[in-house]
Amino acid sequence: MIRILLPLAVFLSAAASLAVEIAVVRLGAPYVGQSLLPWSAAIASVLLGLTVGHVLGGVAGGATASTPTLRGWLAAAWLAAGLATLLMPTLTGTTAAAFAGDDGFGAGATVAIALLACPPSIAAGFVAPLVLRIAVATPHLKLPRMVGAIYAASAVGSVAGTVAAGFVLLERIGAAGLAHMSGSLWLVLGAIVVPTRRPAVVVPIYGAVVMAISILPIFGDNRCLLETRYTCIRLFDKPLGGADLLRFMVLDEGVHSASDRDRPDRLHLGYAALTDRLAQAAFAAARDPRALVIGGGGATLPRAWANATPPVATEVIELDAEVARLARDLMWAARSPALRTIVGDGRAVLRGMPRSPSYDVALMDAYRTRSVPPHLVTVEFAREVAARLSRNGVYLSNIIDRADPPLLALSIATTLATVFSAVDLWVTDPPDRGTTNVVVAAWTNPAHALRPAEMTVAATVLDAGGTPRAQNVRWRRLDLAAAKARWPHACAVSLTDDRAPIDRLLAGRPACRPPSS
Amino acid sequence: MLPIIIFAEGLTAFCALAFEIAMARVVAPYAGMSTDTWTAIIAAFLLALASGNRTGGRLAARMDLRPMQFAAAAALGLAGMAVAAVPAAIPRWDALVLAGAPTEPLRVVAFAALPCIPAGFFFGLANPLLMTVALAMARRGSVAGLIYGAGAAGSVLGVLGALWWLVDTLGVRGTVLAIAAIGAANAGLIALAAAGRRHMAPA
Repeated sequence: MIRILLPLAVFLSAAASLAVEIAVVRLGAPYVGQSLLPWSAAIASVLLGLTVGHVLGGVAGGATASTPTLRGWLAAAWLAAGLATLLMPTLTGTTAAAFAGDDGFGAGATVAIALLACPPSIAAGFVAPLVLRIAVATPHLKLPRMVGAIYAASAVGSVAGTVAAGFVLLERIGAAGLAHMSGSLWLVLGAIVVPTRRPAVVVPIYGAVVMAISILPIFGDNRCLLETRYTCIRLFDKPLGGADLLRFMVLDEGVHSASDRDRPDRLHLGYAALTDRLAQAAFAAARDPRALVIGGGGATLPRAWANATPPVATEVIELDAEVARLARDLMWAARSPALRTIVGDGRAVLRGMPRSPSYDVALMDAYRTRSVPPHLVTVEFAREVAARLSRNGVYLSNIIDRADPPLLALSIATTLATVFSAVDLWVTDPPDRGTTNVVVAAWTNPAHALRPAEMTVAATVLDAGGTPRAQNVRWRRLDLAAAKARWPHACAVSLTDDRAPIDRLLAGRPACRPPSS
Repeated sequence: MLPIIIFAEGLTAFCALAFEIAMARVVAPYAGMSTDTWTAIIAAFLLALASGNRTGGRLAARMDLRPMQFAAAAALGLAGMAVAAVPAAIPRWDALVLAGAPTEPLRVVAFAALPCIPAGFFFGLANPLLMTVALAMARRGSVAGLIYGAGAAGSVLGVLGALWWLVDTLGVRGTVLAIAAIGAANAGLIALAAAGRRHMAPA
């Protein structure tokens, strides 16, 4: 029996540890997103916690501890891990607020949230060495085989935790539910292995476990309308003039889309209005205009194009099926037959698409505030896009980057310049501080490109009270030479499938030496 | 000798986790980066690791300590070779499995998963061999904590090193080859240590 129970204990603990790692990232996502930093911080927090727990688990109770003593430590470890995990959802919001800076939730809040996973990981780290020590202390077990079985149970438990969380649990019970489930599992395991059946000991423990499992989940906050495999989706509405309504779709920490319920053609975000102006130049040159949008989000621009007169046949590639569903059902993108959505990864779907009929506009809108898929910025990907564009087509990329200097946008423009004959960066004038939208336009045919020195578009901003207010946004065009002259010390790299250091660039750290040094 | 075993365990975990991270970037240009690809990579690698663990445990039950160390070194050398083969094999694997229908879920999963299996198995084979050697040499259970701790610390460094440094500076191909080289060096270290200790008690 013990041959099965010992690996089973490690299996369950490993599964719960992986679930905790995923849960802490997703709990923090509405505050700090899911870029490289939150994931790295969570992985480091969990694994460092496990390291400390493993070392302590090797010495707990002394070198000659008996099996009942080791069982006592195992029970204590599981109970502590369970309690600390159940508290994670309750503490996430408070922790984020406590470590927020003047410009919002930065690295401090990211690390602080990740550290919430450390206490349960320390406690969980006790489990494997304690189980192994119990195996060593059990005379009739063949130790080498048991060692192999315990390692294997740990690996299989990690797979089970990852697969169950990623494919099933996040969509069904959310990140808070995932933390509650893992915490409850550990508490139950802890109660089971308490090395005594004396009522004076076990009754208070069982009572505390039942109370913790019943009561603590009540205090967790849930900011998401819907949690999917990939993101936390929130919607919020702002009334416009008359009876009209403006609905924002927020993915994790950043606004992705703003759709006007009654007027699909009104584009309220400055970058969307500019993108539309540039796209219209390409549509005007086509007899039956077609558009491809990678990263649909709330589908504001695809909806505008599909509802135009004449309608633009618009295909959207969206990775997240639930985002696509909400865009259709709650962002009013279902009303046009000219709009078609394909669920899948942009690169993989594009690869499988025929090169004809071609598109007049390809829009890349899959880049998020703090994270950019590396395989969607490379020269190899740009060639795939260019091969599907018409003779007068344009590839537009919406990039959210640091304003000064925009290292990622400069690198993407440099990359696109190796494939397209005319590449411009559109930046706001006067320049924003902090992070800003940069639209990169890559034209197939410079003779048919829209390249004025500047353009002003109508946009909507929310004032301090959250009320929508009309505001003109002026965009200034910089071709690549002008951009390099404006930021002479910013080096731009050509991004390839082999080397695309996007997180480094997004963090404002150059990936090469400045040209002047 | 024991410190070398503990260090080797950490290095093995470093290579395993760094390889897992690098594989996501190897696969992305062909199959994209989605829950399907990530899960296929993690699941295949860890299941291969588990299978290697199980086999390593059975091997350890039948071996003396010195051959056991050579077996661990051989497993890590084979893991390094399996890792090194990935960059050259992937384009051919793509043509064989994925290129015809790059979004078909079964093809995506097969494409992302299978290249992880040989490396995962051989890395997994080494773990119980090293742990058994360490337990026999130390003759106390508490060394298990140190071995596990070294493994977890190596995992942290593998993930962070790959994400923050290796892939950015060496590129994806360079990272994979560097992991292979570290795996081979680890194998050499264990083999040298075993060769230097001729008299060891059986497990």
